[in-house]
Amino acid sequence: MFKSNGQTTKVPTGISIVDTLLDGGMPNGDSFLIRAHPLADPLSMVIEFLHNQLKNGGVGVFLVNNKSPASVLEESAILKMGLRDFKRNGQLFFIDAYSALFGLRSNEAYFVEDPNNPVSVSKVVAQALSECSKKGKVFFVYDSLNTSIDEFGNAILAEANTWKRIAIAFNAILCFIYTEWNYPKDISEAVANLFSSIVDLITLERIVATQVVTVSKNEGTPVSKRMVPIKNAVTGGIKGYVPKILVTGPFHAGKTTLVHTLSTRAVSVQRMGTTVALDFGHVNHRGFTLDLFGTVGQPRFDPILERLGGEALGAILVVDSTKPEEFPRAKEMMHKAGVHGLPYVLAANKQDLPDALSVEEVKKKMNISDEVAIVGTVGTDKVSVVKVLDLLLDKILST
Amino acid sequence: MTHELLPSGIDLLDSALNGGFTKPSNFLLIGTPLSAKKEVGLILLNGGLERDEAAIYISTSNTAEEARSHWEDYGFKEQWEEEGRVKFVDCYSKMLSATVSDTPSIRRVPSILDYTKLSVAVNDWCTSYYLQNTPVRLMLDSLSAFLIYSSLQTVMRFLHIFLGQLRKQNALGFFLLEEGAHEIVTFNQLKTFSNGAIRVNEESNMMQLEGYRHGMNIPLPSAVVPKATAEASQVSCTPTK
Ligand SMILES: Nc1nc2c(ncn2[C@@H]2O[C@H](COP(=O)(O)OP(=O)(O)OP(=O)(O)O)[C@@H](O)[C@H]2O)c(=O)[nH]1
Ligand SMILES: [Mg+2]
Repeated sequence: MFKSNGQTTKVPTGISIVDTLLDGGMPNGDSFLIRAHPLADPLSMVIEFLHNQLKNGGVGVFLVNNKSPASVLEESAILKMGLRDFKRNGQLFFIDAYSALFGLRSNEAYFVEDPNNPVSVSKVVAQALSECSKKGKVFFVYDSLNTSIDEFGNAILAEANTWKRIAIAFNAILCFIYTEWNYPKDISEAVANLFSSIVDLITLERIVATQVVTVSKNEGTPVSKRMVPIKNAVTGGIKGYVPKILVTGPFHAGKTTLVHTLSTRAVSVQRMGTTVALDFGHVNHRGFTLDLFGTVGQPRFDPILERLGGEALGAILVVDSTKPEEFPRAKEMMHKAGVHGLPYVLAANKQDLPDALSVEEVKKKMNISDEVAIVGTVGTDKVSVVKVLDLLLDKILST
Repeated sequence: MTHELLPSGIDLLDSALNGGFTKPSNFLLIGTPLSAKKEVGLILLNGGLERDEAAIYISTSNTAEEARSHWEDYGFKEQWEEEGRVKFVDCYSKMLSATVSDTPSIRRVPSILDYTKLSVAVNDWCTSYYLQNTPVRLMLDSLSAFLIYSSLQTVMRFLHIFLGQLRKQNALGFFLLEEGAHEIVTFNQLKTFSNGAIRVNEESNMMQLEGYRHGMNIPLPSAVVPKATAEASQVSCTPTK
C-alpha cells in the first residue's frame, strides 16, 4: 500500500495492467465502479480482485442480486481462483439479495428478505460491513448495480451517500459492478457521477467481442489512457495481451514483404522464396503492441492457413494488383483462415509494376463493399503499408 | 448484408413469406401455453439444420437436457450436435444446482436475471458461426419467463442490445411469447423490436403471420399437429379440483 498524490491510499488489485492504469490500485475508503459493455464479463475480473484481497488476509463481503452465491463460488472454481475455502474459513461472507426474489430462504451470513426495497438492502450492507470490518480489511462487491437499477430505478442511486459513509467509516473498498444496458442518458450519467474511480471493460469491435480494459476516471479526475486488450487465461487470471493481426492473400502477393516492412522485428519460415509455415512480426503502433501473422499463400498449404486465423482481431488481405485471376482465391482465403467477417483492409500491392490495376479497378474486380478500406501499396514502401495498418486499427477501434 | 432468402422448413410458410426468411430478422412466436409454438420453433430450427446451418436453443424453464429430449420427439438429430451445429444456452439448471457444469454444446447461465452471462454466451457462439460463415437460427424459449422476473423495461433494454448483436451477426431469431400471460402494451412494445410475429392457434391448428402479409392462415405442419392436440386434450381432460 502506498500514498498517491497525498490523498487516498491505494490498494493494488493484483492485476498488474489494472494497477498501472489506476496509478497503484483501488482507492481505499472509497467506492469504485467496474463499468462493463453488455458483451464483456466483469465478474471474472472482480473474482480475481477479491481472491487477491483474501489471499492477503483481507475480508470479503459479496452482495448478489441476480445469481445465487453458490454460482459465484462455482465460477471462481472454474477460474481457478477458488473462493470456497475462504468462505469456510470465515474470511468471505455473502449478502444474499437474490433468493428472496424467488421466494427462497437463504443460509448465507446475510440475507435481504425484502430485496425490493433499496433501503433494506443498504441496511444489510451497513450491518455486514460493520461486523466484518472487525475481522479485517473489507473488500466489498456489489453485483450488480444494474440489476438494482432495473428493480428500483433512480431510487437506488439515492443510497450512494450511505455507501460513501460506509466506505469511509470502515475504511473499506467498495466495488460496484455495472453493465451498461441501453440505459437512458440521465441514468448512465448519474451512475458515472457517483464514483470517483471507474474501470471500464469495453468490447472492441462489431463482430468479435474482444475485451479491452481502460480507466476513464481516477480519483475524481477524468483520464483517457491506454486501452489494454485483455485475456482471461483460465489458470493465470487476467493479463494484458498482444492482439494478433492476420496478413493473408494469394501466392506471391507480397505478404512476407509487407510483414517485414511493418515490423520492428520479424521472422519468416521460407523455402525457395515462398513461405512454408508463417511470417511473424512485432509492431508498436499508436500505443498498441501488435503481432502480425503472415500466412502461406499456396493452396497446398491450406491446412496451415486454417490453423493460423484463430483469435485474430483483424486482417490485412494482400493481393498482387497485376494478377486479377488470383482475386477469387484471395476471398476464399479469408474464409479458410476463419477471419471472414473480421475488420480488414485490402492492400492492392505491387502498385509500382507497370501492368498493375489501379486501386479502383482492384476494388471493382474484387467486388468488395464500400465499408472495406483499400490502399494501393508497394511492399517495401513503409508509408503505404503503415497506412494499411492505420486504417485497420481505426476499423477495429470503432465500436 | 445478403438478401438471400432462407427457407423456413415449412413449405406453406415459405409461400406466405415469398420464399423464406430474410436475414437478419427476428420473429415473435406467439401462442397460448397449450399451443404448439415451441414445436413450430423446433421445426424452424430443423429447417436450418437440414441446410447445414447452425442452431442455438436458449432454455429458461427447462434444463438443456430436457429441451434436447423434447426436441428428439420433433426431429432432432444427434449428428447435428456432434458436428458442433447445435448449441444450448441453459438459464435454468444453475438455479437448481450451481455445480452443474458446462459441456462442449451446453453453456449454463447462473440465473434468468443474469443477462450479462446470457448475452456473452450467445455472442461467443454466434461469433464463431459467423466467422465460419455458417448461418445461425436462434430460439429463445421463452421471452415470457424473462418477463416474469424482470420488468418490461429491463427486458426491452436487454433486447435492444441483444437483438442489435444478432443483427450484426446476421442471425435469424425466434422468441417465444405466451399468449394471455402479458398485457397488450407488452405485446405491442415487443412487436416494435421484431420483424413480425407468427401466432400459433391450438384450436384451428393454424398459424398466422402478423406484421408481414397480415392475416394469412397457414396450416400447422403435420409433425406438430397430432402431438399438440394430444397434449392439449390430455390437459383439458384433467379434472379440475
Ligand atoms: N514489384 C514489386 N514486387 C514486390 C512487391 N511486394 C513484394 N514483391 C516481390 O514479390 C515476391 C513475393 O513476395 P513475398 O513477400 O514473398 O510474397 P508472399 O505473399 O509472402 O508469397 P508466398 O509466401 O509465397 O505466398 C518477392 O520477390 C517480392 O520481392 C511490390 O510491392 N512490388
Ligand atoms: Mg510469404
